[in-house]
Amino acid sequence: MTARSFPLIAILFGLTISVLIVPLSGNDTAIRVGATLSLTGDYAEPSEMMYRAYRLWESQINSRGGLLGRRVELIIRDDRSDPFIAAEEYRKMIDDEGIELVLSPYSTPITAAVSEITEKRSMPMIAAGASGDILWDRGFDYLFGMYSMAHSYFIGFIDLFAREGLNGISIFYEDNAFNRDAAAGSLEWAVKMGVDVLGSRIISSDSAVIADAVAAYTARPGDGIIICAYPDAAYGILAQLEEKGVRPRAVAITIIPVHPDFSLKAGSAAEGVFGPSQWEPMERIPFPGTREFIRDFTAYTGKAPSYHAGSAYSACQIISQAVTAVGRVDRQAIRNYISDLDTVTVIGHFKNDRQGRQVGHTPLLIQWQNGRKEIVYPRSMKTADPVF
Amino acid sequence: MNTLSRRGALPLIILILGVLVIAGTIATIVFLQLLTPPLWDYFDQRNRTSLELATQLAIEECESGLDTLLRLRLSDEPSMVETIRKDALLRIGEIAENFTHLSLVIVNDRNELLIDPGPENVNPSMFFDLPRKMPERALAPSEEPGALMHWRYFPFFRWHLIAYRSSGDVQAPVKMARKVVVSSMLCTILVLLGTLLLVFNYYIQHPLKQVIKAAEGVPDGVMEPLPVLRNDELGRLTITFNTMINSLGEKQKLIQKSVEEMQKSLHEKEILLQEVHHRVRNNLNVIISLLNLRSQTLTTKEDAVQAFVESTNRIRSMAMIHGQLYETKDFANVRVDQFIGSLIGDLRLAYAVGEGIRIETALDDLTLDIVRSVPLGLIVNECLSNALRHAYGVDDTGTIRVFLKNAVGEGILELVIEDDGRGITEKHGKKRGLGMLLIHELSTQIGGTLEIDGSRGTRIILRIPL
Repeated sequence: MTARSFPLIAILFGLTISVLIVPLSGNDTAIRVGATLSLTGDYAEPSEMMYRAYRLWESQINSRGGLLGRRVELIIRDDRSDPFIAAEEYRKMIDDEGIELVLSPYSTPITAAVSEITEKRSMPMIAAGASGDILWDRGFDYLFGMYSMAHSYFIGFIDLFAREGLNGISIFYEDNAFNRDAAAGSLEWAVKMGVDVLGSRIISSDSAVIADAVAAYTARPGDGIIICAYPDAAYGILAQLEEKGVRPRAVAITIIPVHPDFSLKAGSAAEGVFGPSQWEPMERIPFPGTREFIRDFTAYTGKAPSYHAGSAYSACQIISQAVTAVGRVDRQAIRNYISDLDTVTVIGHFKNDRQGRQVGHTPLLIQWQNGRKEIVYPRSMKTADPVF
Repeated sequence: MNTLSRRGALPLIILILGVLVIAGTIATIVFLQLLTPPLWDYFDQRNRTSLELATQLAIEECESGLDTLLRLRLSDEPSMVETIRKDALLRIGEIAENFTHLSLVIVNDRNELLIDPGPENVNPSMFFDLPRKMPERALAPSEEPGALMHWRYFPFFRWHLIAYRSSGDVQAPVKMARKVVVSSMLCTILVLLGTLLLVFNYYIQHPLKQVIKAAEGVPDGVMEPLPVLRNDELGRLTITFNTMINSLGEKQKLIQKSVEEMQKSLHEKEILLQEVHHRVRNNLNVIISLLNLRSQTLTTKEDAVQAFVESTNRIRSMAMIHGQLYETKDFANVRVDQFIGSLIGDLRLAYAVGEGIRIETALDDLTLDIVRSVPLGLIVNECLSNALRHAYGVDDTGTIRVFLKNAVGEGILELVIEDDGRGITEKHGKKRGLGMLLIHELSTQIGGTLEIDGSRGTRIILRIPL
């Protein structure tokens, strides 16, 4: 190195340092968005879908220049399907780590626990993986529903069941907020539709409990069974029904039938099973961006999205829209914006009532027919007639 | 013939019409037999589809009501549910009004008719206690086998939404279609018949009538050719007819001409016959007169012989004229030049004229009527006989010249007979001979003028006005 070359090297070094430093400096710090998901535990299957959707949104929003010109940094932690862990993680992220926005966890129990934290901190949260009625009975101002109500999950199924002239239905449910609401709604709508309810029984993932439930049904069989349960219990009772050769005319289950791998996991027992769905990745569903979302999600994850993924992605869309509209990360302003919002996401209409209940969205009823999901209700969106 | 021909066309037309009507009727029956099943299927499908559509629309109204209740979270509010239910009833009633010949009936679980089927003769019991399950396709109720019914059950309202079409309304479109088909076929047949009649009249009957009319005119002598308008059988018939009447016309003209000729000939013959009788009488009178005259001059036996010869020649010349008349078939006129030529030859033979006497002739073609031909012939006979007998001695040589000139421009026939013999003595020139007497008398008879010069031979010139 000579004395003459030193200034040139110094200039080049300086330029290199400045290029490396500039993106990390100034007020362009990332908007940190926090969430927990049940990456392990009972809710791992639907949570996985939500996780992939959150990550897809993060990737896309940053590739487009972030929010308000700031990069989005998404922090997702595993709540192990435990409401207490989830609530603690949210508290830490908001109070200690200074995250500016949150996305919701999965399941009604966890969302109920987490919303206690977010509500007290005036942190708006869109419940992208919960629909239990309990969430909306507390008068919270910062919690908004994405799903239609759990209470109404089986209206379509009972309607079709009754129209088919079938009668006699048994309801099995797990004793948690979401499934209780779904079961209660089923019971109520069965009465409204003139369908006799032969029995209502609590179940769990315990095989003995499931066996008792199957035995009870066998003792007084009807034309249908409604199972309101998370995946472990739901797969458990489905397996025992299959094992004992009990094949009701109609079986409807929460959550698991909407997963793309349901047919693989349940085997032949999957055929004919109905399930309530918030959305299905079928391109005939004519919402803006639906087709692109299905394409991008499939390319990003290698799997077709479930409604859990669609709902999670829609929640991200609404957060983005709210922040962009407000022009700053202002929790109160964002909350007010979402409260008044009446829009359409990739899974459909979004509008909340005063309690934050989702009233714009229309739920679907799917049925597995010949190894694939078909929408059978409502009629305006159906891809196939129901088969009983 | 006319009546027969007209009667001949009518059965043909009636036969064609009859065949068409029978064929059309058979075609209609066959067509209806073939058409009715698919027609029935088509309208049955339409009936069923419209019934299913009606129930579909009705249940959509119910679904819409339920959707409203769910969105507003009012499904637990009996008053709101009732309001929505009534609204659905009204809307379904409006839907029913948009369907013709179809009733939308709503029956609740207590078998109460919430919307009346309409027609009084409908048995409402067919709408009661229906299964909840929707039939795959509209079906016929046992209470009214010809009718069609389709329903859907809406559990939230506990309603059976029933679309009903009576048997009469179900069958009406098929009956109407059959009527339309039959009417169409009949109209088609009538139009075909009318067209056929028009075509038959235009292309066959009308041209045939023209031919018949023209043919009927033929006996009356009307032979107008018909216009040939087409190149078909009738056209060829017209051409044949035209050819026939043209031929008939030609023949008629020929016949007319022949008749005229025959009439002319007959007239000529009648005149000729009269003339012949007249001539015969005249000729006989002439002969008698000649013989009488000649007989007065007979003194010797030689005179008598000579008189016979002369008389024979005179009669020959007369006979020659009649012979020519006979040969030429023209009994009124005589070719004088030919007659004179023949007469010369006969006289030459009759008088045994030797080789020393030459007779030269220069005779123009000339025809003269028989009235003047006979006297002219006698004149020539007398002149030539005189020349042959008296102009030359036995061994003399000489030339007798006979000229017949047709001075047409002047209207005069000029006959010159001259010889280079002894000439005429004073005695002969003063008409003392019977021959000269005849020449003079006959010339006067036919209005001719006679010049006789006997100074150097004999030259007789006779001019007769034509």
